Amino acid sequence: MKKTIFVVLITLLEFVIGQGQIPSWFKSLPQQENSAIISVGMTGNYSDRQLARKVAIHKARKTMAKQIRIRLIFEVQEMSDGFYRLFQPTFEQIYYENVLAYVDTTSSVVDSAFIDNRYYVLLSLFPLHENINSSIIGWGARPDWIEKLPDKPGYVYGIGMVANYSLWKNGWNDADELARFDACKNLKINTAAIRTKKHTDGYTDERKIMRQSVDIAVANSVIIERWYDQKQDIFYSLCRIPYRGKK
Amino acid sequence: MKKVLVIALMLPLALMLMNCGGPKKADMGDIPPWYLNPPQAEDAIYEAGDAAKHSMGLAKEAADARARDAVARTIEIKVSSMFKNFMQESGIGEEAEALEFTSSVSKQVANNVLKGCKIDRREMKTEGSLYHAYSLAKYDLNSLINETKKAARHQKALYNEAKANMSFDELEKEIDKLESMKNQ
Repeated sequence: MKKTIFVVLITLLEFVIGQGQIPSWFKSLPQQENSAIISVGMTGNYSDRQLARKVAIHKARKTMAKQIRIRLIFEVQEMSDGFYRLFQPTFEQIYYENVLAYVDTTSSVVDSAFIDNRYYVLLSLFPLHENINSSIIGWGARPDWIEKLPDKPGYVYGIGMVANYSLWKNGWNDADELARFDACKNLKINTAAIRTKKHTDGYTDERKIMRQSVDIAVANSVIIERWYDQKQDIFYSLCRIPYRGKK
Repeated sequence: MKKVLVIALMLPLALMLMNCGGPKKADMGDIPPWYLNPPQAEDAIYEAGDAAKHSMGLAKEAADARARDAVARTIEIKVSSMFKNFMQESGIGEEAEALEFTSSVSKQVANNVLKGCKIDRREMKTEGSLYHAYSLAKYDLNSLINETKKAARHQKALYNEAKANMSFDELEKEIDKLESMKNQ
């Protein structure tokens, strides 16, 4: 009995510690002249290290292909009749086979880490001129970009946040994708709405149909920062897209 | 045995009644000050939106969409009011074509692509089992001026009669003055 409790406690401890230890480049992508040429990939829990490495590399290559060029299609509709509200967002992303094939043949692993049965890889498209300073770190304090997005000329930022995911890998996957969509919505979005308001006997009946959409192909969209709220189990990702227009 | 039966029947009923209060209301101290009083700026329009949902991702999407929708509404009112003033000053305010022109341009600007309308600030709170997201959208006034000019030029071709009665150069100058309407 004592042995079982000990094993359970050790497993729980490993789980808690594991959530808090990550390679530094998973939290903040190393700053390169063209960030799109480096990407990270990670896996869920794998006991087979070789298999985990393969999966992580595949994930990093896919991420890199998306970073280089991706088409994002987003639409949200909200309908309300005064009593009920129907809110329906749809997300679609298309990345390109030829870009993925190019990444598959050209990219190489720059750094990797295996922490708490999760494999992390850092992939580069070309040989890097500078060495990557890598270390195993904790998540640290809540970053400012969660409350207020960075405001750097020439870039548009977006944040992705998801909570209560039982699978760590899926949490990051969705936070990353939502951050990419968020950034492109900050770039441009189509809006349309029809509203009606009727006043009768002191009551106001308000009806609304709202539609917002965006369909855009973006290049060099990179997840540059991640943060995990260990207390509340929330995954945050910050995406950056270069922007040539006037600010 | 009877007692157990009564408790077994009463317990689900009590739980059902406990849930009848609806979702928990937001604590006023938790509401971000910029949601109640969106910032006023000379070069931008700020509007806030919020949404409470069981999914955090959905709450964020809905709050963002509502904040952007509020920006679109403000733009429509701002542009419409500017055009009405201009038409009245030009002495063509009551003509049907002019009214239609005003309404078309303001609707087109508001229902158009919001370029650079970004979510400037965001806060996420928990209310019972719900996530309550607050978003503040910011829209650059220069983008509004450019979009309004574009829409006016587009509509100009469609309203020949109105075109005959007004000077579009004057109208474009008036659009540039949108900035001076910021405090209205």
